[in-house]
Amino acid sequence: MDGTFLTAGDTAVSVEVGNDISIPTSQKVSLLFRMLQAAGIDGIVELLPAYCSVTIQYDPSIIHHDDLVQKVKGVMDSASTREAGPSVSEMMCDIPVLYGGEYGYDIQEVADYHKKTVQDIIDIHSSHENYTYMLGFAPGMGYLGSQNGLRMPRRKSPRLSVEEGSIIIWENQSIIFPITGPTGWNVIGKTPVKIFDISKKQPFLLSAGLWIKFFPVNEEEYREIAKQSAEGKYLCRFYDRRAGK
Amino acid sequence: MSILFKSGGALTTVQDLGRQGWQQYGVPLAGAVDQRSLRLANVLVGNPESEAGIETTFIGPIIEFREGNVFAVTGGDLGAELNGRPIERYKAIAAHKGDVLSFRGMKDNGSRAYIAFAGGLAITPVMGSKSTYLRSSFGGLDGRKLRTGDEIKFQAPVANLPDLDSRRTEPETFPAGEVTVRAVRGPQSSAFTERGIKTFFTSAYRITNEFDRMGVRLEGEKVEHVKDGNMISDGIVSGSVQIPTNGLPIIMLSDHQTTGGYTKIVTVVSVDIPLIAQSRPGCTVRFKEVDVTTAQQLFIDEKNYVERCRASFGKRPPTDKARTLSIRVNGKQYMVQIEEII
Repeated sequence: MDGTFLTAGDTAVSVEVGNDISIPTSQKVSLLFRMLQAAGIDGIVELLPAYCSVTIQYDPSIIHHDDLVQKVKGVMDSASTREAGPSVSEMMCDIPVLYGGEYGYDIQEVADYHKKTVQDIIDIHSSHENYTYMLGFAPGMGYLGSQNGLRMPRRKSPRLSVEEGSIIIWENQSIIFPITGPTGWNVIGKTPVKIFDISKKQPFLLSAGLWIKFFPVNEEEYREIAKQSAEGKYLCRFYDRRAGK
Repeated sequence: MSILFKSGGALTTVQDLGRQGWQQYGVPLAGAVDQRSLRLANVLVGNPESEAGIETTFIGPIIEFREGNVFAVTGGDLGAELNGRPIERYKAIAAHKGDVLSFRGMKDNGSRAYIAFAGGLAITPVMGSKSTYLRSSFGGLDGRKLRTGDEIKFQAPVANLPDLDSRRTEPETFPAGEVTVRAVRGPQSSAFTERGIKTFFTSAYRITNEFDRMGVRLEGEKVEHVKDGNMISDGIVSGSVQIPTNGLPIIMLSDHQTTGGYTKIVTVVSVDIPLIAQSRPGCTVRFKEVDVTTAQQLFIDEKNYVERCRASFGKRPPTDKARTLSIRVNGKQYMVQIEEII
């Protein structure tokens, strides 16, 4: 694996393995992230995957910048020769969504924009796979990309108070909104599951490289899942994408 | 068994050295903005450097000791007083039950003070850290700044510490009007023209009012990009200096978001971040370029300084008339000073 090393002060280095927002580049990032986790290089304190890079934070009293770069290069070189070890993740997670109505009040506008019906939008959004490029902006929030063709511009005037859990879309991306607050993206639905639950040992539902499929639920199902979710009893289904359901 | 806040001050929070290991999930590091001052406060009272203390900005709190404990105040001089009498910064002090720690007001010497208490604070860690992250309202005390009536329990208070008088380090001073910080080029210095880089390193920037735990916006000479200030988002670290298309630098501090889409011209060296943390709106900032090896040596030197401070306590020759004994009664440790009476 090739990469460009960018110095970020005395405690971090970013390794760029591409320069675009694409699944192949992101999967390279994901692979490097997992290989570095497995390598356990002494002195590394944090690994942060983004669209095209992994930022490695380290303790300079344990390892010098140049030595760290050499060790990371060694790990990257082994990527082409290794037979076993970490590989690209194909984990998929199903997330329930109540589309339209008071939970997705912009869905009619999205349908009009694409000259389709609301049901078409629901069918398209819930039948395409989404890929989690990275998490950021707020704890647990994933940037999900999809080739669903539902590209949307920003709204002319932002919505000032969009509820936590809302599914919002812009360009070819969907986001599960992590907080209640303003956004210029279009609101098409809402999920009853929590993407960030501080009471859990692993508080986050999403992770970089995870595939997401949304599935429509009705209001009754939404309420039931929300209830179970609040009690910590609802578990989203995780499975290998290649194996299907 | 606790401290009671009679007033919260302007912005007072529980902070340790931050929440490491969760940035891949979008969780910011948080933690003390001036980590050096928190480390020294902890060392003075015999704590691990990573223990949580109180960070207070501009206007300090009023704290009543509901039980005796040893504490130390470091960082900016906010005019700390115990029972209305000025106390020394960078020195361990034994407070008694009922004593009141207050702050008379900011001098021209720093803007953030740190208070550490021997044995630490009984705050339940969230994702491995006691640090308050205000924007998402978790960590510290209910994820918020401290206010009147708040009570925080001590974890393992002590009435006294051995060699209390020797528990002091050199009081630090912080530049009042202008501060020069050292910085390493990158990660995106190639997004700027040679002229832009020269502008950045030769200009004086003014700290605006947009100065919080997330970062500091500067104003002054605009830095020229090759194209513009946008990029595909990547990781940010404390000390990253982002320059958006408007050409004006933003220095990122503890509560910065984990990723960002603005080009970063330099990264302020770790040991100089406290200089930014201790400045205030209206101050001037200049940047001086150093290489990464120099920056790493500065990091190591600072680590050694903190360790030397810890090792220095108790090295002063004891008087032959007084002795300190450590005794254990019902599982609790007490320091007893025995003095010869003539």
